[in-house]
Amino acid sequence: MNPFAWDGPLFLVFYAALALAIVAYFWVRTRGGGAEPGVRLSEMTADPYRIACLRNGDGEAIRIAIFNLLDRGLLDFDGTMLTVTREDSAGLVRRALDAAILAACRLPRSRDELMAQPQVRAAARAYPRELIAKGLFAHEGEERARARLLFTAWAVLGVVAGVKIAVALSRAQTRIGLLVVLLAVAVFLVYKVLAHPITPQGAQVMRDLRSLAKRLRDRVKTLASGGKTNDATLAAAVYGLDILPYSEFPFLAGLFPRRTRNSEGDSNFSVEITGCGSSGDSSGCSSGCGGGCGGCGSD
Amino acid sequence: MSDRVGLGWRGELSASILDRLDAIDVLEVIAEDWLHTPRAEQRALRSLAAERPVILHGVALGLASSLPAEGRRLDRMARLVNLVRPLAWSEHLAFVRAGGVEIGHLAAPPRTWATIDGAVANLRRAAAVVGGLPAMENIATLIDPPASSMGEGEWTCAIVRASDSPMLLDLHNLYANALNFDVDPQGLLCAMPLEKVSMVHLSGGRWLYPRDAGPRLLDDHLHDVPDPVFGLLEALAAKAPQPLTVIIERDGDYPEFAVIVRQLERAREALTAGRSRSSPAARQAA
Repeated sequence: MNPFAWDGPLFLVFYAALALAIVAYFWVRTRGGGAEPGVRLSEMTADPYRIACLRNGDGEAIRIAIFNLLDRGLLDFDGTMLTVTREDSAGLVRRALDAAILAACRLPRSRDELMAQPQVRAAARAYPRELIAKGLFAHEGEERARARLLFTAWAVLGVVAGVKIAVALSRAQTRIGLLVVLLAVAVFLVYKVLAHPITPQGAQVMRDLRSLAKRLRDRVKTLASGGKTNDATLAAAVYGLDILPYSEFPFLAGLFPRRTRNSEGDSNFSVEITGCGSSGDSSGCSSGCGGGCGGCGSD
Repeated sequence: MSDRVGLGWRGELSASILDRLDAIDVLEVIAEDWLHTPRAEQRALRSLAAERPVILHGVALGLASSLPAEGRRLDRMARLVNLVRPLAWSEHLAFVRAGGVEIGHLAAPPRTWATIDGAVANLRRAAAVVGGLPAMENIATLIDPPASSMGEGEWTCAIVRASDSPMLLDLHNLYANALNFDVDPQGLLCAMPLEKVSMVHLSGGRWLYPRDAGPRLLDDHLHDVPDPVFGLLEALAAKAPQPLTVIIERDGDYPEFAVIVRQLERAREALTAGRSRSSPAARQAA
C-alpha cells in the first residue's frame, strides 16, 4: 500500500483525489453551508457595493459604483475618460464611495487612474472592514490560520509530488509532466479557495442573494438603463457586471470589457505571503502589515 | 395582532422589494418555486423570513378533489414549511390533475358533496403531514363548473367550515366570478364564510371577448387592482372583525414599483375605511 510504489496512472488518480480532498476541506471550512447569515439581507441590499465587495473585494465595489454613477447619469464616459456630468453631483449621492468617485472625476480620469485614486480606495476599504465586523469576512486571526493552512496544504501537495518525482527519476522514468501539471492546478485551486476572505456566514449571504435574485438575473436583458430602479446595480453586485447587456449599457463595452472585468473566477483577493502572514483586507493589503500589496486590487 | 398588507415575492422585483420593505408588512412566496431547489437555496427563504413574515402559497397540491392529495407533494411542502417556519401556508380550492393528466392550471371542480368530502379529507391529510391547515383560496373560473349542485358560496362554506381551515379570500377571483356569472359581487362576498377569512388576495385582470360567449373577466395578475376590488376589501373589513393579512399579487407587466407601493397604501386605506364602518365591538376585536 505504498502509493509511491504505484505505477504512474494509479498514482495520478491518488494524487488527484488527495488534491480534491484538500480543496473540498478548505471549501467547506470557508464556505460551508448551514451557517446562519447573522445579517439581514436588507442591510446588504441597502448598499449593493457591500454585496460587490463580499463577492469579489473592494475593487469590485469601486467598479459597481462607477457603473451605478454612469447609469444614473452622474458620470460620463467618452470612451477613454470619466468625468462628472454636473457640478452639484456630490449632493445627489449618499454613499462615501460615490462621493469620492465624483470628487475624483471633477478632472477627467481614465478608469485605472480613477480606481487608483487614494480617496477612492480609502472609501472602498471601508467595505471589507464592515464585512469583517459583520462576520462575513474572516478576521485577522482566521486569516492567519488560513495562511498557515495554505502553506501546510502546499507543503503536503509539494512533498507528495516531489517524493513521487524523485522515485520516478531514480527509476529512470521521466514522464512526470502530468504530475507537475496536477501539482500546479492543485496549488492554484487551494490558493483560490483560501485567498478569498469570505466566511461561511458570508457565503450563506451570497447564496441567499443569488437564490432570491435568480429571476432578476433571468430578466437582465430587459433591465432598463437610466438608474430609475436599483435592479441593474443589484444584479451587477450579486452576479457581476458580465451579466449586463451591452445593448442597454453600451459604456460597459469600453469601460469594463468582458475579458478584463473581474468575475468570481478572477478574484481581487490574495493572501499576502510575506510579512505578518495573510491579508485580511480585500484589496490584498494586510492591515497593520505595512506595504506589500502585490497582486491585488485593480483589473 | 393587527391587519397586515404585503406583496407576493417575485424574484424579478427582488431589488425593489428589499429596497422598500418599509412599505411591506408581509411577503407571500410561491412554494412550488422552491420545492425542487436544493436545500442550500431554500435557506434563502429563512433569510427572507427574517426580514418580514413569510407565507408559503401552494399552487399544485390540488386539494379540492375527490382524488387523494399525493403524499410526496405533501412531504415536500412539509419539509419546506419546516425549514422556513412561515407565518402560514395556503392552497387553492381547485384540482390540478385527474386521470393521470396534469392540467397545468387551477381548475374549479364540480361543486358537489363528493368534492366537498374529498377536499375535507385532503385537508385533514395535509394538516397531519405539514403540521397545520392551509388557508384555502377561492379560485377564478371562466366556466361554471359542470355537474355542480350548489353555488360557490355554499360549496366554499361547506369545505372551510367542515375542515375548520382558515380562508384566503381572493377578492379579484370573487369579483371576476361574480361578473362572469351575473352575480352581485357584494352578495357573493356575503355568501362566503367571512368569519374564517384570515388572508386576502388582491390582483387585477382583463376582459376577454370570446365569439361564442359573453365577455369574461380573466384574473391574469398582470394589471393593477381595480377600484371595485378595493371596495370589496373595504366591505370585508367592515364585516370581518378578525385581523386580515392582505397580499397584492402581480405576476408580470410590472409597473414602476412606486405604483405597487401606492396599491399597498390603497389596501391599507380600504382596510381603515372598512374598520371605521364596522361596529365598535368588531373594531375592538380587530
